[in-house]
Amino acid sequence: MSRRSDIPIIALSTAGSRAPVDLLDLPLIGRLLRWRHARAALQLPVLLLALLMIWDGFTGSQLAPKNLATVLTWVQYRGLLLLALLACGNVFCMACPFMLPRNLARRALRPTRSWPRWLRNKWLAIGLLGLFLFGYELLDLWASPFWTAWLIVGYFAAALVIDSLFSGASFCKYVCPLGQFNFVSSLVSPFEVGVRSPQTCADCRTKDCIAGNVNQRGCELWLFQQRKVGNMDCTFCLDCVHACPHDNVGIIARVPGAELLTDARRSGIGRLEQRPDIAALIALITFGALLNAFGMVSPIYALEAWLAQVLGVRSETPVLSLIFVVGLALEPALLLGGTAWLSRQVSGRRGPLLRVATRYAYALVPLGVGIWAAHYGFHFLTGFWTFVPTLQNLFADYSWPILGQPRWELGPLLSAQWLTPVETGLIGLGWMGSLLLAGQIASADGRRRWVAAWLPWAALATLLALLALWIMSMPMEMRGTVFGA
Amino acid sequence: MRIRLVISVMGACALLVTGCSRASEQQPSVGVELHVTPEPLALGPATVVVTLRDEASRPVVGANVVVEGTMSHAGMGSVNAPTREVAPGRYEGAFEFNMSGDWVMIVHATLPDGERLERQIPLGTIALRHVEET
Repeated sequence: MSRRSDIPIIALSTAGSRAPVDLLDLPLIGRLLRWRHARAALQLPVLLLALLMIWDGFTGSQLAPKNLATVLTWVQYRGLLLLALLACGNVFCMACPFMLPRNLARRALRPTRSWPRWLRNKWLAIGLLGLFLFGYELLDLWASPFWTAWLIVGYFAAALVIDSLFSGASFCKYVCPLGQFNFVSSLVSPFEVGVRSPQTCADCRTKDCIAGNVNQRGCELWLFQQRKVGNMDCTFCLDCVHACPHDNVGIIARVPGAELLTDARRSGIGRLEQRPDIAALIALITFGALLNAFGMVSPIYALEAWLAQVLGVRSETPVLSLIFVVGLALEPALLLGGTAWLSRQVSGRRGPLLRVATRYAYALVPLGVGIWAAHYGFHFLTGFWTFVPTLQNLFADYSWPILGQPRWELGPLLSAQWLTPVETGLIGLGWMGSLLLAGQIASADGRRRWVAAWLPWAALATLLALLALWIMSMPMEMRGTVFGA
Repeated sequence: MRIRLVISVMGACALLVTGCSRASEQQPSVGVELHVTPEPLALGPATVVVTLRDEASRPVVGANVVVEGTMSHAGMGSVNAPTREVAPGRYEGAFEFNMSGDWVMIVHATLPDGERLERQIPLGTIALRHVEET
């Protein structure tokens, strides 16, 4: 651990103190997770739910609040996703239903190709995630059971096709937009799949965790446990847990975000400082959080109307395209580049601008996750119970009202007075986490003038947090555009 | 070859499903008009008036009418407004627009002969303006 910093270092390990909590050692849950079919047991009900959502999305009411496809996807799923990431780890990748058909297909279709070398980065996934965020706005996915159902079908198809053609978990690691969001968010999760005893790994000759054995495949995302650091690219599939002959892999508690303090070489990833693609992914997710929330408050109408007038158009596509290019590309590039330049100037430190921006971009993770959590939390808390009448309605539609008549008035989990404190708290926690991380990165890079290096990044994080608070302070509107229905 | 077969089968299944729709009850031939005040529509309390007329344009009296309001985005419980008959075929109730955005009103009516009627009427965007009390 570095001793060069003047500010307290967050311990990365509890060496010399009590051993960290390992979920695999807990009664019941540990036993379940150690079962080699644990993942399938989680995936199967999610698969059935996904099929039900597809069915309702295509055949049911096309009014979003009355359809399982839209209700479960845009309300419960997004909220539970963030909850699981903040409380545990990448549970939703663990329970991913898209892998079940793919696993089934691999019994007959053994992929022989390796993922193309020039695509072994996050740039494709970044493009797809940006496209998804754009499509979400353009197609009004939140209001369309039909298109939401197609989105789910599309995910199944993409996972199946890509992983039937290419070996490993190429879809998860290099393509899946949802997976990339989960990977980045899990950087601040309190648990990590990791080794219990480094010495046991050092003594191991078979390396089953990555090579696999006759009973169990190894890690399909090419994360070698002995040199794995953190949660990036880890789907919590637990293949390594089940493959390890020494029972040396656990799901271990850690300080959230602490993995970002080290720039050690990570198995399957390399050094974070040398991964501008991952930094760009983090920037997309952070600025995407702001843009996505901004799309739900009234100033967006004024902006769209003004842009439509300036551009002389009547269609939403060019206006939205411009907003997205500015919001997801230009703005992050300018702000991150400008802050990196300023940080370098005032601290007198040297180094390529891209490397500085890349290194400090990781400090935005807590804030980005905090903003997404605030936004998704709003929908989750205001609409939690809406799945009940939707499910009741589905059964009633088939003249089988075993769940009773739909109670459409059901909605919030908490009363409205709790929304602002929860949203503010989540953004505040994210902001503080980003300030702390940026400070730790600055001090780890050298004691000299670390505060000067840190201040511009602290200012950027504060600006983004204030923007988020401003957006969340405005009443969220359940959508509409100046271009009309 | 096999992967193409798998993709084709998946695509065919998806297309077939998109063509399905759940059988809905035959709707009675009753004309439904919905009028909401104040105008322009705004956040806050409102009055909904539903007018029911049969095929011969005669008012439908004695129906049980409830107006349900929901929004285009999933994640909000519906707002229900029971109504009372204030004139033959004219049913009035108190409603509350509790959020800005796109609203869809659904008129649920149980007719005197027991038949049930449901009509969706999009209202468009409710702006964030509060009605001033007079």
